Amino acid sequence: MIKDVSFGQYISKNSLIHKLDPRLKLFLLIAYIIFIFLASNAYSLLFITAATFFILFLSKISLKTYFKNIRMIIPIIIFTSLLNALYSGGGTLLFSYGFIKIYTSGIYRACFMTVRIISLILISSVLSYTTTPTDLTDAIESLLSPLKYLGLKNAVHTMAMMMTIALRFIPALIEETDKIMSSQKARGASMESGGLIKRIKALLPILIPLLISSIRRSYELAEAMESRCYNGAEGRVRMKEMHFINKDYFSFAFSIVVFSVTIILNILF
Amino acid sequence: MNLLEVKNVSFSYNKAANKKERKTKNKTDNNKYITKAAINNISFSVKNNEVIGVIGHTGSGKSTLMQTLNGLIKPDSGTVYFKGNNIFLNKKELYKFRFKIGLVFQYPEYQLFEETVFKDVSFGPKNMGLDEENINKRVTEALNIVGIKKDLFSKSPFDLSGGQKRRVALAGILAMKPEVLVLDEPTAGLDPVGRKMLLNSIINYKNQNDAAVIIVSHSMEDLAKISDKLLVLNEGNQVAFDTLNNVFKNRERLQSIGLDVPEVTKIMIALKEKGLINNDEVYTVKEAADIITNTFRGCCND
Ligand SMILES: Nc1ncnc2c1ncn2[C@@H]1O[C@H](COP(=O)(O)OP(=O)(O)OP(=O)(O)O)[C@@H](O)[C@H]1O
Ligand SMILES: [Mg+2]
Repeated sequence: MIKDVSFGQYISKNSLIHKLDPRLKLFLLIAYIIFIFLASNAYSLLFITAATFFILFLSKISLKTYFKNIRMIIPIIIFTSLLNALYSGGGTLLFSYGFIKIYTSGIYRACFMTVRIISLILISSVLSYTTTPTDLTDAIESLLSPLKYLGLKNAVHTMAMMMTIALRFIPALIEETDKIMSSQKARGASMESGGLIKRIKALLPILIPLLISSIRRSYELAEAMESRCYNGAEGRVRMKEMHFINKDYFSFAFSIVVFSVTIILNILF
Repeated sequence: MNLLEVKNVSFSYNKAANKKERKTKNKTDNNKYITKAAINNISFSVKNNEVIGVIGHTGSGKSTLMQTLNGLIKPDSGTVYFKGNNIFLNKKELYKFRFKIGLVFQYPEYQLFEETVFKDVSFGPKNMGLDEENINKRVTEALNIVGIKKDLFSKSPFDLSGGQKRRVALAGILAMKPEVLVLDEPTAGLDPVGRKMLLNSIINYKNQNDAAVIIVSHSMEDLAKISDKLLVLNEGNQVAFDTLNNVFKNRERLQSIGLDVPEVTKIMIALKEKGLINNDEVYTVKEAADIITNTFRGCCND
């Protein structure tokens, strides 16, 4: 069923990572991604990967859940590994068949890229698993807030609000689609058979009611917002102010150490 | 013979998620939530020209059960027989049963999509592969039954009032001439006049076509007026499937699951307790009025 498409991956747990300020998490995620790319030798990469695993451990979410995300990108991993294995010459020749030649350095590059991709995915999953979509949009809004000095205050706010609303509406839309599909099936609509034109035509009885109900919903929402005096960013305050607390400072310091060690390892070896 | 027979049907949503939950949550005592099925071992049957009313608290599984009846939901165990044929036997043939067992969803007006009322109602018959003439005949008939006037036929369904939309949606199912008509809260959100009209259309259709009707409603009054039997659900379990008398006789059981007898019956029970009348097995206002006038006419004439 269409409902099975999971949306928003937030998993509620009571962990240090869950409690961190979302702004900090977003900022640190970007930093980790940059430093994973900067790690240029095996030592620094393994070090920052180990740090990543430590963070996964702190989030109290099982490794299995994290590795589910990796399953989806296995084709990409295989593809990049193959490219790297085939195209880097150097070291001793391990295997050759026609024009295919694999050198030790190729294997090394392939492993290196694989570890790098996996770390990237894992560290990104930490953010999506431990932060609610709403917190995330708040964080994006506040990280983009420097743009207000360019006179873009309203634009930033509007964008964040649109993201929040979209996130809020997706599950409702999925449910609605499910219901309309069932209704039309009850009238004998078949969606799985026929040629291309027939199938596109078969979508109309679903898309039109869906579109109409989305428009109705958005009118209702707009009215509800206006009747509560919403008028954009002007004079708007937050219910939950975000504050840095000790945990945040500690995590920031920890990450600075990780980044520094990564750079030092880069330079040393 | 039974037109539709439901045998030991059970279904729970989200089985995969439940399995996961079970693993992680076993330590805490959350078993009740985990193993809870939306419907659990439901069995009942309906004959031609019979009306079954389905009642139960919100979340008791009524809508889920209705969707298993025409095969939109495949039960985890148990099955549904239409004229003795297991509807789930052949997946490819399943959709044909949907023309025989017409399901009208809760708030069916959200399924309307065509340019005109007439075209929208003909969607079902078209899917059946009928010829033009037949389609037109059925659509006109169906719209007549639900009381939509001819001048609305070529209007856009989106320009109708809520109650009219509801009736058009009902006509969309009636036009397929189902032998079993399944309705999930058809009168929800309608005003008293609209409710009465809709219920009348349903009864008229039943009488004209010798059809069976299965109707979900929160209104004990409505159900008492039209049903031959009641199916009572509570948290997915079947509490009763019996005649009105037998269901309403056991008032404590109904109250224990948050339901009660119709309002008018409460009055009659109170009157009987006071010794003023001697029959409280009365479930419609009309019957009650008759009994009261008959009883007291005698007393006041002398
Ligand atoms: N699509 C779904 N996915 C998961 N669970 C569902 C879904 N639909 C219903 N349920 C659950 O199944 C149970 C039965 O729901 P159902 O909609 O059948 O109740 P109902 O008797 O029709 O209630 P109501 O009177 O409010 O319409 C509820 O506990 C509900 O939370
Ligand atoms: Mg329901």
